[in-house]
Amino acid sequence: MERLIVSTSPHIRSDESVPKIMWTVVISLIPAAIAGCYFFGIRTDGTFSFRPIFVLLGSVGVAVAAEAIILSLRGKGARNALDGSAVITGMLFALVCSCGIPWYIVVLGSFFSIAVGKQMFGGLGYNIWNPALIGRAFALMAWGVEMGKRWPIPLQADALSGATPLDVLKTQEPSVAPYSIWNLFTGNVPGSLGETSALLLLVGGIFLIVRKYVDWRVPLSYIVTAVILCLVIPFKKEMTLPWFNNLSIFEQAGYYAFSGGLFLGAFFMATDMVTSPMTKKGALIFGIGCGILTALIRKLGGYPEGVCYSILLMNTLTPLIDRWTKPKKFGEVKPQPAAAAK
Amino acid sequence: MGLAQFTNEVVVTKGTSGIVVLTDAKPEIHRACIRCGRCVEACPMELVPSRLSILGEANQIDEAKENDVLDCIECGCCAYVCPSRRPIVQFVKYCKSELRIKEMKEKAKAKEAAQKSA
Repeated sequence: MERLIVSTSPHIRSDESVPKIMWTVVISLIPAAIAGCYFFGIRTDGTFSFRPIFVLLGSVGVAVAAEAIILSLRGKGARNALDGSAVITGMLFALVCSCGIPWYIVVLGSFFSIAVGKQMFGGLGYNIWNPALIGRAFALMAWGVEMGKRWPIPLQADALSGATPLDVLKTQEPSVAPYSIWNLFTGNVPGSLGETSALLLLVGGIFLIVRKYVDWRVPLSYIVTAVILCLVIPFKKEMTLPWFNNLSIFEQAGYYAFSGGLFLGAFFMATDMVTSPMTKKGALIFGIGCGILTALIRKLGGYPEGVCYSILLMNTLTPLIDRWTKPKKFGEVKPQPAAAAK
Repeated sequence: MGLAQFTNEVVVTKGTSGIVVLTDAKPEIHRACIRCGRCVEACPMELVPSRLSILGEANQIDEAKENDVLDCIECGCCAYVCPSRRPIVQFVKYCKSELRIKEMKEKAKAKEAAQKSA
């Protein structure tokens, strides 16, 4: 007689799987990555620099290799490194860094993301913080000048400037917006490899929302909260609204939304399943909390951009948010005060 | 939800409403929970199945009871949608049986103590 498999119901599963989800996220990140390679890869004389592509592929390669080595050391099977999650971590780490960083930061940062940010906690599903952001926070602390002061100028590869749009706002407090809204939206501004093109990040993000791999509540509540607070909180007490003389209030809102890493963080990092709350109410709280922290760090903190640390801080709160927003079970009755007194 | 049979020599009784034979069923290796929240969305009893499966896997049956494992109706919606292919219903059943054994043991102990004092 043939051997039968005995298991509990259900015996038929949906065709969703972890690798499918992860590879879909990788695909949705590709447009923004291509935009970064285009803007920071083209030199003024029209030739193409492969530096952004090397940074991207190097980071992904190191992440997958580190994942495979650690998984095989832990006896979990090196094949699982190809489930796509390490590719996402490697890609995100490259996308949140300037492509002008030295090669050893790419290698060490990507390795740190996987080894300390993810595998140290037990691998996919057990990490508390977003691995790519852990890698970025580590690199920012270890090599502050290389990470925070060397931003490439778009369409002039190999030229490094010292300031992103948010750097300019923080250090010079100009009364006229330094970059046009259209350039900010399409990504034609100095910044990290993948954060500048809000347009293509939006395309990838909407693709994920349509495929239901991302809850729209997190990016929407995050961006709305951060923009409103950025408009309200002044850099200094004596400053008054509007901050920029040449922009209307809506254009200013767009300025705060499209500058810095807000779109990348809101669509691809705050929505990481492992490190964000499970319930819908929790997702709203998480997004609003990220928005508040981002605005506070941007306007009152020491860094020009606060997306990285705001998401890491809210990741820390995720287990607590999950406890607060635990769904009420079907048919549950509120404990009666009289019954409780007895 | 029916029960899987381990042999084809099971009798068909009056209560048998149907037999389902699956051809492409293969054992699947489950991964760790990635906390995507699909099971929480799917659960008709509005429990948190992901938590129950983790507690069942870790043998923390008292914590599972606190998380209302006994209210689970074992419909299997959570296990159907799970992208990590976790056998959530199996973990829930395990928790329930362990809780039943524990309860029986405690009852027997209480009975014994009552007999001794009497």
